[in-house]
Amino acid sequence: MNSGRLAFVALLLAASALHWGVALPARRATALAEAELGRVKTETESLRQRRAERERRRAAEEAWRQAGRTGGESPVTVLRRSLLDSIGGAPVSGVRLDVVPAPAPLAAHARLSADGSFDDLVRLSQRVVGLRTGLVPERLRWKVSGSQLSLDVEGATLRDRP
Amino acid sequence: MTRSRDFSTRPEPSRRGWALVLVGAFVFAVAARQATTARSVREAVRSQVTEARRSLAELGARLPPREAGTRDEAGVNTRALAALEAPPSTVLGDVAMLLPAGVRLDGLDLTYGREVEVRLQVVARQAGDYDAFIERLARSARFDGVEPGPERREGEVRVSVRAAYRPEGGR
Repeated sequence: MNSGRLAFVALLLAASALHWGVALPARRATALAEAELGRVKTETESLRQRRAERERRRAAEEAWRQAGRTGGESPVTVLRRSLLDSIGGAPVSGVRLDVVPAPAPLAAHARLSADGSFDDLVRLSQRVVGLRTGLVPERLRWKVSGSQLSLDVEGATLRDRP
Repeated sequence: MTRSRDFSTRPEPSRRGWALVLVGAFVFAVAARQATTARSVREAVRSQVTEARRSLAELGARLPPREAGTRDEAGVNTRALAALEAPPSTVLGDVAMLLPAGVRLDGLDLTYGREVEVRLQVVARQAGDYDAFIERLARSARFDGVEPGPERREGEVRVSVRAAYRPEGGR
Protein backbone atom coordinates (compact mmCIF):
# COMPACT_ATOMS: atom_id res chain seq x y z
CA MET A 1 0.00 0.00 0.00
CA ASN A 2 1.61 3.32 -0.91
CA SER A 3 1.73 6.34 1.34
CA GLY A 4 -1.18 8.10 -0.43
CA ARG A 5 -3.49 5.21 0.31
CA LEU A 6 -2.24 5.02 3.88
CA ALA A 7 -2.95 8.71 4.40
CA PHE A 8 -6.41 8.29 2.86
CA VAL A 9 -7.27 5.42 5.21
CA ALA A 10 -5.88 7.33 8.19
CA LEU A 11 -7.95 10.40 7.31
CA LEU A 12 -11.10 8.30 6.87
CA LEU A 13 -10.51 6.64 10.25
CA ALA A 14 -10.00 10.02 11.89
CA ALA A 15 -13.17 11.41 10.24
CA SER A 16 -15.08 8.36 11.37
CA ALA A 17 -13.80 8.75 14.92
CA LEU A 18 -14.87 12.40 14.92
CA HIS A 19 -18.30 11.47 13.64
CA TRP A 20 -18.98 8.59 16.05
CA GLY A 21 -17.02 9.93 18.98
CA VAL A 22 -17.85 13.62 18.94
CA ALA A 23 -20.63 14.65 16.54
CA LEU A 24 -23.14 11.90 17.32
CA PRO A 25 -22.82 12.09 21.15
CA ALA A 26 -23.08 15.89 20.89
CA ARG A 27 -26.27 15.60 18.81
CA ARG A 28 -27.78 13.13 21.29
CA ALA A 29 -26.90 15.47 24.16
CA THR A 30 -28.44 18.39 22.22
CA ALA A 31 -31.68 16.44 21.73
CA LEU A 32 -31.85 15.68 25.47
CA ALA A 33 -31.08 19.31 26.34
CA GLU A 34 -33.78 20.50 23.92
CA ALA A 35 -36.32 18.19 25.57
CA GLU A 36 -35.27 19.54 28.97
CA LEU A 37 -35.53 23.10 27.65
CA GLY A 38 -39.09 22.41 26.46
CA ARG A 39 -40.04 20.97 29.85
CA VAL A 40 -38.54 23.94 31.73
CA LYS A 41 -40.31 26.40 29.40
CA THR A 42 -43.66 24.64 29.93
CA GLU A 43 -43.11 24.67 33.68
CA THR A 44 -42.17 28.37 33.57
CA GLU A 45 -45.31 29.23 31.61
CA SER A 46 -47.47 27.25 34.01
CA LEU A 47 -45.82 28.96 37.00
CA ARG A 48 -46.30 32.36 35.35
CA GLN A 49 -50.01 31.64 34.88
CA ARG A 50 -50.35 30.44 38.49
CA ARG A 51 -48.60 33.54 39.68
CA ALA A 52 -50.86 35.84 37.67
CA GLU A 53 -53.93 33.96 38.92
CA ARG A 54 -52.83 34.25 42.57
CA GLU A 55 -52.09 37.95 42.16
CA ARG A 56 -55.51 38.52 40.61
CA ARG A 57 -57.19 36.64 43.47
CA ARG A 58 -55.28 38.56 46.10
CA ALA A 59 -56.07 41.89 44.42
CA ALA A 60 -59.75 40.93 44.21
CA GLU A 61 -59.83 39.91 47.86
CA GLU A 62 -58.15 43.17 48.85
CA ALA A 63 -60.69 45.17 46.84
CA TRP A 64 -63.59 43.42 48.61
CA ARG A 65 -61.90 43.91 52.00
CA GLN A 66 -61.53 47.63 51.32
CA ALA A 67 -65.15 47.80 50.22
CA GLY A 68 -66.31 46.06 53.41
CA ARG A 69 -64.40 48.34 55.77
CA THR A 70 -66.46 49.27 58.80
CA GLY A 71 -64.31 51.92 60.48
CA GLY A 72 -64.74 50.27 63.88
CA GLU A 73 -68.51 49.83 63.61
CA SER A 74 -70.19 46.44 63.75
CA PRO A 75 -69.95 44.72 60.34
CA VAL A 76 -73.58 43.62 60.70
CA THR A 77 -74.79 47.18 61.26
CA VAL A 78 -72.69 48.55 58.39
CA LEU A 79 -73.83 45.89 55.91
CA ARG A 80 -77.48 46.17 56.96
CA ARG A 81 -77.40 49.95 56.55
CA SER A 82 -75.65 49.68 53.19
CA LEU A 83 -78.16 47.13 51.89
CA LEU A 84 -81.14 49.16 53.11
CA ASP A 85 -79.69 52.21 51.32
CA SER A 86 -79.40 50.18 48.13
CA ILE A 87 -82.92 48.78 48.38
CA GLY A 88 -84.47 52.16 49.25
CA GLY A 89 -86.55 53.50 46.37
CA ALA A 90 -86.25 50.31 44.31
CA PRO A 91 -89.65 49.36 42.76
CA VAL A 92 -89.73 45.92 44.39
CA SER A 93 -92.02 44.37 47.00
CA GLY A 94 -91.93 41.69 49.71
CA VAL A 95 -88.41 42.60 50.78
CA ARG A 96 -86.95 40.33 53.47
CA LEU A 97 -83.50 41.07 54.85
CA ASP A 98 -81.47 39.07 57.35
CA VAL A 99 -77.94 40.12 58.30
CA VAL A 100 -75.94 38.12 60.84
CA PRO A 101 -72.31 37.95 61.97
CA ALA A 102 -70.18 35.45 60.07
CA PRO A 103 -67.05 33.52 61.10
CA ALA A 104 -63.62 34.64 59.86
CA PRO A 105 -62.49 35.37 57.22
CA LEU A 106 -66.02 36.72 56.65
CA ALA A 107 -67.46 39.62 58.62
CA ALA A 108 -71.24 39.57 58.08
CA HIS A 109 -73.57 37.32 56.14
CA ALA A 110 -76.75 38.58 54.44
CA ARG A 111 -79.86 37.02 52.93
CA LEU A 112 -82.14 39.23 50.92
CA SER A 113 -85.35 38.35 49.09
CA ALA A 114 -87.59 40.57 46.97
CA ASP A 115 -90.37 40.30 44.37
CA GLY A 116 -90.65 42.43 41.27
CA SER A 117 -90.22 42.61 37.52
CA PHE A 118 -87.19 41.02 35.88
CA ASP A 119 -85.59 44.38 35.04
CA ASP A 120 -86.16 45.75 38.55
CA LEU A 121 -84.74 42.63 40.18
CA VAL A 122 -81.68 42.71 37.93
CA ARG A 123 -81.14 46.37 38.86
CA LEU A 124 -81.60 45.44 42.53
CA SER A 125 -78.98 42.69 42.25
CA GLN A 126 -76.57 45.20 40.71
CA ARG A 127 -77.14 47.57 43.62
CA VAL A 128 -76.82 45.10 46.49
CA VAL A 129 -74.00 42.91 45.19
CA GLY A 130 -70.68 44.56 44.46
CA LEU A 131 -67.93 46.79 45.75
CA ARG A 132 -70.44 49.53 46.63
CA THR A 133 -71.86 47.44 49.50
CA GLY A 134 -68.89 45.08 49.84
CA LEU A 135 -71.29 42.12 49.56
CA VAL A 136 -69.46 39.21 47.88
CA PRO A 137 -72.14 37.05 46.25
CA GLU A 138 -72.49 33.40 47.25
CA ARG A 139 -75.73 32.61 45.53
CA LEU A 140 -78.42 34.44 43.57
CA ARG A 141 -81.68 32.82 42.58
CA TRP A 142 -84.33 34.23 40.25
CA LYS A 143 -87.51 32.21 40.36
CA VAL A 144 -90.83 32.47 38.58
CA SER A 145 -93.86 31.35 40.57
CA GLY A 146 -97.13 32.05 38.78
CA SER A 147 -96.97 35.61 37.57
CA GLN A 148 -94.53 36.58 40.29
CA LEU A 149 -90.74 36.80 39.89
CA SER A 150 -88.63 36.67 43.02
CA LEU A 151 -84.95 37.12 43.73
CA ASP A 152 -82.99 35.59 46.63
CA VAL A 153 -79.48 36.84 47.28
CA GLU A 154 -76.96 35.38 49.70
CA GLY A 155 -73.57 36.88 50.27
CA ALA A 156 -71.05 38.04 52.81
CA THR A 157 -68.62 40.84 53.50
CA LEU A 158 -64.95 40.16 54.20
CA ARG A 159 -63.28 40.94 57.50
CA ASP A 160 -60.76 43.76 57.38
CA ARG A 161 -57.17 42.72 57.98
CA PRO A 162 -56.08 43.33 61.61
CA MET B 1 22.98 -3.25 -17.46
CA THR B 2 20.85 -3.68 -14.45
CA ARG B 3 19.01 -0.79 -12.88
CA SER B 4 19.38 -0.59 -9.10
CA ARG B 5 16.35 0.34 -7.06
CA ASP B 6 16.64 2.84 -4.21
CA PHE B 7 14.93 1.41 -1.07
CA SER B 8 16.32 4.10 1.25
CA THR B 9 13.53 6.58 0.52
CA ARG B 10 9.78 6.05 0.42
CA PRO B 11 8.29 6.27 -3.00
CA GLU B 12 6.68 9.58 -3.87
CA PRO B 13 2.84 9.36 -3.95
CA SER B 14 1.53 9.10 -7.40
CA ARG B 15 -1.11 11.46 -8.83
CA ARG B 16 -3.79 8.93 -7.81
CA GLY B 17 -2.29 8.83 -4.30
CA TRP B 18 -2.54 12.64 -4.03
CA ALA B 19 -6.13 12.48 -5.16
CA LEU B 20 -6.92 9.98 -2.40
CA VAL B 21 -5.21 12.19 0.17
CA LEU B 22 -7.28 15.16 -1.01
CA VAL B 23 -10.53 13.20 -0.79
CA GLY B 24 -9.58 11.91 2.66
CA ALA B 25 -8.68 15.43 3.77
CA PHE B 26 -12.03 16.72 2.48
CA VAL B 27 -13.96 13.98 4.33
CA PHE B 28 -11.99 14.70 7.48
CA ALA B 29 -12.63 18.42 7.16
CA VAL B 30 -16.37 17.84 6.76
CA ALA B 31 -16.44 15.50 9.77
CA ALA B 32 -14.45 17.98 11.83
CA ARG B 33 -16.76 20.80 10.90
CA GLN B 34 -19.84 18.72 11.75
CA ALA B 35 -18.36 17.74 15.10
CA THR B 36 -17.50 21.37 15.92
CA THR B 37 -20.96 22.54 14.93
CA ALA B 38 -22.66 19.76 16.94
CA ARG B 39 -20.63 20.66 20.02
CA SER B 40 -21.31 24.37 19.73
CA VAL B 41 -25.06 23.73 19.23
CA ARG B 42 -25.03 21.47 22.29
CA GLU B 43 -23.30 24.15 24.34
CA ALA B 44 -25.76 26.80 23.14
CA VAL B 45 -28.78 24.64 24.05
CA ARG B 46 -27.23 23.75 27.42
CA SER B 47 -26.70 27.41 28.22
CA GLN B 48 -30.33 28.08 27.23
CA VAL B 49 -31.41 25.32 29.64
CA THR B 50 -29.30 26.86 32.41
CA GLU B 51 -30.82 30.29 31.74
CA ALA B 52 -34.36 28.88 31.61
CA ARG B 53 -33.82 26.99 34.90
CA ARG B 54 -32.48 30.14 36.53
CA SER B 55 -35.50 32.20 35.47
CA LEU B 56 -37.82 29.38 36.60
CA ALA B 57 -36.17 29.39 40.04
CA GLU B 58 -36.46 33.19 40.22
CA LEU B 59 -40.11 33.05 39.24
CA GLY B 60 -40.75 30.35 41.86
CA ALA B 61 -39.11 32.49 44.52
CA ARG B 62 -41.26 35.49 43.55
CA LEU B 63 -44.52 33.48 43.58
CA PRO B 64 -46.91 35.00 46.11
CA PRO B 65 -47.40 32.58 49.01
CA ARG B 66 -50.33 30.20 48.73
CA GLU B 67 -53.35 31.51 50.58
CA ALA B 68 -52.55 30.91 54.19
CA GLY B 69 -54.58 28.80 56.51
CA THR B 70 -58.05 27.48 56.11
CA ARG B 71 -59.96 26.22 53.14
CA ASP B 72 -62.54 28.92 53.95
CA GLU B 73 -59.94 31.62 53.32
CA ALA B 74 -58.89 30.07 50.03
CA GLY B 75 -62.56 29.71 49.05
CA VAL B 76 -63.26 33.37 49.81
CA ASN B 77 -60.24 34.33 47.79
CA THR B 78 -61.41 32.52 44.65
CA ARG B 79 -65.04 33.64 45.16
CA ALA B 80 -63.89 37.25 45.47
CA LEU B 81 -62.23 37.04 42.06
CA ALA B 82 -65.18 35.23 40.45
CA ALA B 83 -67.53 37.90 41.81
CA LEU B 84 -65.43 40.71 40.31
CA GLU B 85 -64.92 39.05 36.94
CA ALA B 86 -68.47 37.78 36.55
CA PRO B 87 -70.97 40.08 38.28
CA PRO B 88 -74.56 38.73 38.19
CA SER B 89 -75.78 41.31 35.65
CA THR B 90 -73.02 40.31 33.20
CA VAL B 91 -73.84 36.61 33.49
CA LEU B 92 -77.56 37.35 33.05
CA GLY B 93 -76.84 39.48 30.00
CA ASP B 94 -74.79 36.69 28.42
CA VAL B 95 -77.55 34.12 29.11
CA ALA B 96 -80.21 36.46 27.70
CA MET B 97 -78.23 36.91 24.47
CA LEU B 98 -78.38 33.17 23.83
CA LEU B 99 -82.14 32.73 24.33
CA PRO B 100 -84.00 32.02 21.07
CA ALA B 101 -87.53 33.38 20.56
CA GLY B 102 -89.34 30.21 21.69
CA VAL B 103 -87.40 29.77 24.93
CA ARG B 104 -87.92 31.39 28.34
CA LEU B 105 -86.40 30.84 31.77
CA ASP B 106 -88.52 29.91 34.79
CA GLY B 107 -85.57 30.15 37.10
CA LEU B 108 -81.88 30.95 37.19
CA ASP B 109 -79.38 30.20 39.96
CA LEU B 110 -75.88 31.61 40.14
CA THR B 111 -73.50 30.02 42.64
CA TYR B 112 -70.13 31.69 43.17
CA GLY B 113 -67.23 29.42 44.09
CA ARG B 114 -64.08 28.34 42.29
CA GLU B 115 -66.20 28.92 39.19
CA VAL B 116 -69.55 30.57 38.63
CA GLU B 117 -72.10 27.79 38.33
CA VAL B 118 -75.23 28.63 36.38
CA ARG B 119 -78.43 26.57 36.68
CA LEU B 120 -81.20 27.42 34.26
CA GLN B 121 -84.81 26.25 34.42
CA VAL B 122 -85.50 26.29 30.70
CA VAL B 123 -88.99 26.25 29.19
CA ALA B 124 -89.17 25.86 25.39
CA ARG B 125 -92.31 25.95 23.25
CA GLN B 126 -90.93 23.27 20.93
CA ALA B 127 -88.12 20.74 21.05
CA GLY B 128 -86.40 22.54 18.15
CA ASP B 129 -86.25 25.80 20.17
CA TYR B 130 -84.71 23.94 23.09
CA ASP B 131 -82.15 22.24 20.82
CA ALA B 132 -81.21 25.61 19.32
CA PHE B 133 -80.68 27.07 22.81
CA ILE B 134 -78.50 24.16 23.95
CA GLU B 135 -76.45 24.41 20.77
CA ARG B 136 -75.90 28.14 21.27
CA LEU B 137 -74.99 27.58 24.93
CA ALA B 138 -72.51 24.82 24.08
CA ARG B 139 -70.92 26.92 21.32
CA SER B 140 -70.65 30.04 23.45
CA ALA B 141 -67.16 30.95 24.67
CA ARG B 142 -68.74 32.24 27.89
CA PHE B 143 -70.15 28.87 28.97
CA ASP B 144 -68.46 25.57 29.57
CA GLY B 145 -69.42 22.11 30.79
CA VAL B 146 -73.03 22.40 29.63
CA GLU B 147 -75.06 19.56 31.20
CA PRO B 148 -78.73 19.34 30.29
CA GLY B 149 -80.86 17.44 32.81
CA PRO B 150 -83.78 15.13 32.02
CA GLU B 151 -86.51 16.64 29.80
CA ARG B 152 -90.15 16.84 30.77
CA ARG B 153 -92.54 17.26 27.86
CA GLU B 154 -95.98 18.49 28.77
CA GLY B 155 -96.85 20.47 25.68
CA GLU B 156 -93.73 22.53 26.42
CA VAL B 157 -90.21 21.20 26.99
CA ARG B 158 -88.95 21.78 30.54
CA VAL B 159 -85.31 21.09 31.35
CA SER B 160 -82.85 22.05 34.06
CA VAL B 161 -79.48 22.93 32.50
CA ARG B 162 -76.20 23.35 34.35
CA ALA B 163 -73.18 25.21 32.98
CA ALA B 164 -70.06 26.98 34.21
CA TYR B 165 -69.59 30.64 33.32
CA ARG B 166 -66.25 31.68 31.85
CA PRO B 167 -65.71 35.41 32.26
CA GLU B 168 -64.09 37.33 29.42
CA GLY B 169 -60.35 37.58 30.04
CA GLY B 170 -60.76 35.32 33.06
CA ARG B 171 -59.42 31.86 33.77
